[in-house]
Amino acid sequence: MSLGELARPLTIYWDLTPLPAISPDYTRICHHIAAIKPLQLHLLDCGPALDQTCFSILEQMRGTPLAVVLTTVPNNISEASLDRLHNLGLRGLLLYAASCAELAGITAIRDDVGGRFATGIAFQVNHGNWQELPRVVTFCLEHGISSLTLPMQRLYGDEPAFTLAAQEQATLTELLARLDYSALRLTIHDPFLWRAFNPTTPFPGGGCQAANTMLAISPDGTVYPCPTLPLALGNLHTSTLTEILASAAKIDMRKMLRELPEACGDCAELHQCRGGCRGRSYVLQGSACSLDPACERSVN
Amino acid sequence: MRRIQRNPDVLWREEDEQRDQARNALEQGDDAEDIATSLLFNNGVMLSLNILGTEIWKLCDGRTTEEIVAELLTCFEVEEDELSADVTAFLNELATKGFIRYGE
Repeated sequence: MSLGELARPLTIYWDLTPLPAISPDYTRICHHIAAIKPLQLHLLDCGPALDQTCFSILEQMRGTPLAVVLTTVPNNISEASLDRLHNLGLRGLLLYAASCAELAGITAIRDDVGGRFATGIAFQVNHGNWQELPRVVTFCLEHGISSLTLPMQRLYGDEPAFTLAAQEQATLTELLARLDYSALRLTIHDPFLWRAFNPTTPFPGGGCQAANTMLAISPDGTVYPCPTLPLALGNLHTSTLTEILASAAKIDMRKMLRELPEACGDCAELHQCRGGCRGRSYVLQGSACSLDPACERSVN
Repeated sequence: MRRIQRNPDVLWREEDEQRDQARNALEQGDDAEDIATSLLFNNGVMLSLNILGTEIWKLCDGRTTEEIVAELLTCFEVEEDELSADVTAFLNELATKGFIRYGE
């Protein structure tokens, strides 16, 4: 049975950092989130220290069926913070890194976590580090880390959009083919990165899920369809999530995203990429209805 | 007899609006098979279940297959043999995908 269009998202990505000039009302946002009953809440807190806000959000979500996963940098984790996160019912911890050098120290944390909650690595891929991916995979395999996530880019900020060119993808595929990472649980949101890791398995899902199975909340409370699609649907200073989900902006957004980019036409690769990343199209091409530049680079 | 438990790691949600829609359809004698009334998510795998699948899922709380079938017979007008076969096949599929576990 196809999932189709959902009235409420399954996953909310809520970024707490970088800290905004004016903080939103975190308690109010927690109430908004609880009201729409998502299954998962992904918190991102990569500031210099775990903010009290993060703990108070976990406190408010404790006892609800919502599974909260926290992404943070290894330096923010101590034995005391692990105890506190465990007591607050955290379901998963992703340790953020953007280079192999930053992976050092993660194994000690993994050992400290024990079986208290699922632990993995969130490796943010960019133009400067994609060649390190085989080493990251090797690191996970050698250190018993069973989960590797390649997070969605936060394109509502000033992060430059990343695309992998055809030759780069071929190089990466070749390097990864030397490794057996079948036991590693990979979460990959970019269809073209997915293909480098899974050359024979089509990208799962039914096309762009922005504003359908997911929503993103930026540190200042702005709501986006997805972290990579910087077309605001509203702001939680002035609206509730329930109102945003019922809004014409959200309905129109889904109508647009359900249609594949016209340039895809009857492309034979469509079953592989499912229309590509629409946020990247918007940022780099000026329209979410344009071809994903990763595809153009791949084709050319 | 094997007792059936939901995998506690599975995240799931019942969709109230769709459940009411399915119930109304059944009351009017219409087909509700294609109305997804719940969503299950585990380890990157997502499943949507219709009203019968959802009711079976909710009954996976330590009951046996026979107990689940007996309970469903009080809610759905179907032949017991047919229901039993459907429930067994559905549970085996859920077990294969890691959504439920068989115990003693």
